[in-house]
Amino acid sequence: MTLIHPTRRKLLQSFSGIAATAAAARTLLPGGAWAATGTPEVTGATLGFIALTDSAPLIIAQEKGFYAKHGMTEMRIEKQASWGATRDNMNLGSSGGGIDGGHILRPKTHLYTTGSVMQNNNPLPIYTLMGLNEQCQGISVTQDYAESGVGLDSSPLKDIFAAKRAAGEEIPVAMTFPGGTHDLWIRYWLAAGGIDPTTEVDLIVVPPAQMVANMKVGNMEAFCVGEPWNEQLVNQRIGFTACTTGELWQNHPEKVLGMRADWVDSHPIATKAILMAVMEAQMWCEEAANKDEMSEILSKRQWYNVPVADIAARIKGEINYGNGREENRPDLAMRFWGENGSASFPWKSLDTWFVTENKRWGYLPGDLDTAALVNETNRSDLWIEAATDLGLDTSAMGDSRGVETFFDGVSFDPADPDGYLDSLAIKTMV
Amino acid sequence: MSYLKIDHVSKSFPLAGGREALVLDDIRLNIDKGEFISVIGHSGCGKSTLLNLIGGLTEVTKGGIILEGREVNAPGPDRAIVFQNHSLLPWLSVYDNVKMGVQKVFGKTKNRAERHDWIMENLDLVQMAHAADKRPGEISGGMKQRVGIARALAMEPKILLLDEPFGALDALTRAHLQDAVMDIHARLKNTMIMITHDVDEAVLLADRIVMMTNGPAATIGEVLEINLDRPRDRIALASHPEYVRNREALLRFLYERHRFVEAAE
Amino acid sequence: MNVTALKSKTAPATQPKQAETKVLPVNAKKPDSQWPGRVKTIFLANILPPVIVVASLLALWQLVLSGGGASLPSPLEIWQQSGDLILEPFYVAGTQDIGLGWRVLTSLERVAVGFGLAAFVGVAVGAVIGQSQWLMRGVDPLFQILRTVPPLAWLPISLAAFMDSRPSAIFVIFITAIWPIIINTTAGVRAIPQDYRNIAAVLRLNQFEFFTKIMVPSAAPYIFSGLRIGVGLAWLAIVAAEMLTGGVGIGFFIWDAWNSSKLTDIFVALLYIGVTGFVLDRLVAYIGQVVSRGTIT
Repeated sequence: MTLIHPTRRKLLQSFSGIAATAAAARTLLPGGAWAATGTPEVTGATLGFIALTDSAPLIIAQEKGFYAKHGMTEMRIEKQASWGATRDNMNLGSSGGGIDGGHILRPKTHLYTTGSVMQNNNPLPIYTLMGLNEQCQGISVTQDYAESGVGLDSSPLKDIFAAKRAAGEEIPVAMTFPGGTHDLWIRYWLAAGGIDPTTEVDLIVVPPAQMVANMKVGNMEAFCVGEPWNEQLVNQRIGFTACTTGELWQNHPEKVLGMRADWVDSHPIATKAILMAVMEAQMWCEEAANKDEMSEILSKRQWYNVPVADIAARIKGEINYGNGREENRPDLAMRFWGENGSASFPWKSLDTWFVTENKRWGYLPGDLDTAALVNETNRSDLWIEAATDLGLDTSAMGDSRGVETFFDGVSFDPADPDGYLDSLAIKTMV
Repeated sequence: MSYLKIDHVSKSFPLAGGREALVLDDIRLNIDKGEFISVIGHSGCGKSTLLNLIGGLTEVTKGGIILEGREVNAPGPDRAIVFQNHSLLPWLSVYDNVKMGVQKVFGKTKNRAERHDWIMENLDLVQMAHAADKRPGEISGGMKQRVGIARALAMEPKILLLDEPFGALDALTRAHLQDAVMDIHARLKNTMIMITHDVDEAVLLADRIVMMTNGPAATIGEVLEINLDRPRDRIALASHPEYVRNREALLRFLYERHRFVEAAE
Repeated sequence: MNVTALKSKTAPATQPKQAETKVLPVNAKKPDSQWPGRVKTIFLANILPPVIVVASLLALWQLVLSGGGASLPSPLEIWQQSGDLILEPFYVAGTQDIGLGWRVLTSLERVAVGFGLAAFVGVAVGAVIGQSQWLMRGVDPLFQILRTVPPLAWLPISLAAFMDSRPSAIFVIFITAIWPIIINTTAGVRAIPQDYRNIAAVLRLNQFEFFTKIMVPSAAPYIFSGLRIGVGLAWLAIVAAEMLTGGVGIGFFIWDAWNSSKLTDIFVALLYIGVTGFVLDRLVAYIGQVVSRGTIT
């Protein structure tokens, strides 16, 4: 991550300030003045989560009383059945028996707001409020290919898959949601190894438990999903981890806390209170000393309902790849906070990458105005407000995290997303 | 003017293909009040159809049926029917089955206590008062038929129509019920029309026997007057010359002059 | 018509001759009271056989699967790992960690509303359709198609229509349970014996009287047949729907246990679901008996 040039800092800050006022002015509320402190408009909201370790901050904030500390005493943190159910529940809102926001895959903000994944293509405006975590997802491959040499480099699979295709067989490769993070990671990984994910494999959406179950009966070649599934797969000796996603793109963004735009606009103080609570939870989760307690809490039936052993190791960076490779890589562990909150701060440049990558695979139209969509949905301004209230130093934050570099040498400059697109060999744009 | 006049009545049923089946052809019959008429004939001669026409369950195709000067073309409690299958409602008790008719007919004219008494009287008439609270499922076939008669009588019909009411019962029960019917007729002096297959039953019970020819297009073949004194004792009658003569006449009609032939399809 | 007192034709029942009362010895045993005998009979006839069968099946299952490495858990394993779920049906350890008894009740709440609506509407619609040949021919193909649609397929449609998850769940139950109720009610109405219709005709019952006094009681066995099938389907529907929608019902518990690979939990949940389904079925049957005053078995 490159440091932002000092002289540009003030400019970017004032731009984000303007954006915040503009966004606020768009709402029906008068003024848009954000009180630095104040009682929240409501004392609760309903946030959904999926049983993946990335949702930990939302849960820890509840268990450790951080929400209550900031005046949100009636928060409901509810387990969702699937990403599809999350989408439908967000669409209903808590007044319709659904949720106001929650733990979502980062690109979902853009996919919901443009309506491209919604029922009847009705847009659902969502704000990205903060990053919940970075990296520590896994790309798993069936045990059958353990000796093929596939790892960070997916190319050994090209011939294997080609042979299967020639024999008339299907190549099921699973991810969690079309256009979501896991979909994009596995596509990137395959494409980097010269395999076209649209034509050479059958990419399907499958719930995590089914991914593991299918691989067990020989019905799944590879998948990309969050933890603890990859760890569970290795513990059950059904497959191995080809790579953990931090190896594809170090400190890559993953899940975010997204909420319905109308809820945030109507409850600015409550939103800030939630942000402050989750930030405190993220800082708590980042402490090495807390990892064991974190695993214990998350394993409860109330939350993830999985054995502690399936959670504990990988969040510390102790990775058993399952094909003989075992490493202790704290730099690949899940990051909840990062340097001064860098993992929590919702950098706009990262949203730009997601929109661009979704254009690459045809989930969003190629002529979509990326900057407008990002500005419309990203509320890093709220993050700054909340962090300031917590007494944190936000001087390092801005709109861009700088040029991003991937494991295969490709780089993404947020100022020139089209240049990135042009440089890629495999893509299916619309 | 006769009480019930069946005036040149014909009945046809429509068949598939636009054709018609003529079941009854030009039935002419006058019945006096208080008469007991038996209708007898081979299967398929339209006896039930005739009864249904009088009862109003089906409409005449030609002619008319006039009861006390008014035309009959709809069913009603004034021509109560006792069916061959007792047709008691199985979810109601014996009492409630009878009550249903009484309620409908006397709902406005008798008060509750009167209706109750009336129901019990009618059950008494058929010796079923003791079983008033039983369900049809708990009583025998003969008892069910008695209740059927009670139900019909409780409606104080002008004409009591009985459609082979004892056909499904054994000989002994039949005998008891025949006696009961004769008793009722003697006491109430009401008009009864009964369809039967049984020659003895017809002669025993009736004032006149209507003998039907064979179907299709059946009509009244002959009407036999029975001049036996009432009350009639079946055992005494068994050797009574008049009884025997009537019986013979009936048998000749049915088995010599109008033999039953399987209808050719 | 005056009815004079009838002389009974049959001979008055003669009193049976009183048996000479014997003087019993003083130490004659008093007859046993009825209760222990009855309880014993009920136990031997109705409870013992299924208990023996179930126990034998459990023993067989334990035998077959007790070796290590079996893919399914044995009864002993289920008891060890998930026995607490059986022993404590009503614990509360968190907003989303509650006993299976509570979960069943949560799911049943929705079933009650959905099934209640289906029963009411289904019987009414079935009664109307059953009386018209034309209507029957018109709606029958439509019903036969719609009733095969699985409950889960209705869920996204109802969510989109209602924009609220609560009526959507109830709608899914309603639309699943209603078909057997309509179809069976229609059959029952059509099956009214001609004799009953004749009686109604002779008595000149009006439409309403015919409906209440003859049609409903006559069709009752069919209607309750339909209701029993319907309640079973309603229960299936809610369990399946919860797997998709989430919440704290028993269906979502199973989905969650599957996600966490907790097979023994799933087995225990199946036990709860099966028992509840059984109770529901018996309940509807019992109501049928009461309503029909014993004529429906």
